[in-house]
Amino acid sequence: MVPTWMLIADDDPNDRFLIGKIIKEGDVDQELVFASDGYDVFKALHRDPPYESRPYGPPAVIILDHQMPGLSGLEILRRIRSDPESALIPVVMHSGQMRAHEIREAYRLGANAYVEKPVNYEGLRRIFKELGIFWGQVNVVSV
Amino acid sequence: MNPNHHIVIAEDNEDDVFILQRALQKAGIPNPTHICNDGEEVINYLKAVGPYADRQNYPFPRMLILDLKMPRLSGFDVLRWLRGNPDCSVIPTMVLTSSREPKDVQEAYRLGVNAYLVKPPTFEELQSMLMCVSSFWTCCEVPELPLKC
Repeated sequence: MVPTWMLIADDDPNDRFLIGKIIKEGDVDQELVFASDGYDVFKALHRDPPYESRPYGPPAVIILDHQMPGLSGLEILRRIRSDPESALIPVVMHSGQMRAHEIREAYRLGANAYVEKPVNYEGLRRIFKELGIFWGQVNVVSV
Repeated sequence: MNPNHHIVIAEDNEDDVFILQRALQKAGIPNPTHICNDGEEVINYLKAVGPYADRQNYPFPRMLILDLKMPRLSGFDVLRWLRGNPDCSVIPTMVLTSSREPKDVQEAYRLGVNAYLVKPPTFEELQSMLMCVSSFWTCCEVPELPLKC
C-alpha cells in the first residue's frame, strides 16, 4: 500500500504554501496535510480534530521545520520516534539556519534526512521538488 | 551531499553489481562509489580494517547503500551494527533490495535505515530511480563524520 498523504509542518504560512505548491509541481499523488506547530503535528498523526478527514494510514513523509514556536523540531522528532504508532514514519527536517551540531543531533534522533530551507524561491523549488518526488514516489514506507 | 563524497554499496550478486554500476554511470551520478560484496566487508571498510586503513584510497563514506540478503553479514546485520556504533549511526543509509515484504521494510526502519528502495524490474527504471536518489540526496545536509568507526 502506498501512503496517500504527506504532512508538512511549518509555522510560516508563506513557507507552508510554497512548499506545498512546489511538491505538487513534482506530480506527487499524495494529499498534502499541513500543521503550523508541533501540537498540530500530533493531532494530524492521531487524526484528532481538525484532521478527522485526512487520509487513513501513515504519511509518506513528515516534512518538519526545525525552528518552530512551542515544541522545537527536535522535540517533535523525539516524540515521533518514541511513539510506536509513528516511530517508523520517515521524517525530513529542514532549517533556514544550518548548525552542524543540530544536523548531527537530528540524524542521531532518527531524522531520515536534513535539508536547508533556502530563502529564495528557486532554491526552495530545487530542494522541495526533489524531496517530494523522492519521498512520494521512490521511497517505500512501512505500513 | 557533496559530489566528491564517497558512497559504499553492498551487493553480493555480480550481475546486480554490473547493472548497478552501469545505471549509476548512465544516471550521471558524480560521486565515487566502492562496492562491497557482503556486510562484513562494509563493516571492515567503516572500521578501516585491512586495506581500508588507507583512507586516501578508501575515504570514509558519506552514504551507504545496502542489499538486504547477503552472505556472512546481511544488510540487517550492518544496520544493527551501525546502531551500536553511535559515531557511525548518523551515516545516511539506504536499503536497495528486491524485497517488498512488509516485515523487511518494517525491520529496516526499526533498525534506523534512512530510506528503503525496491529494485525496479528494468534498467531504465533503475537508472531513473538512481537519478531521483542522487537529486534528492545531493540537496541534503549530512553530519560531519569521523575517519573510522
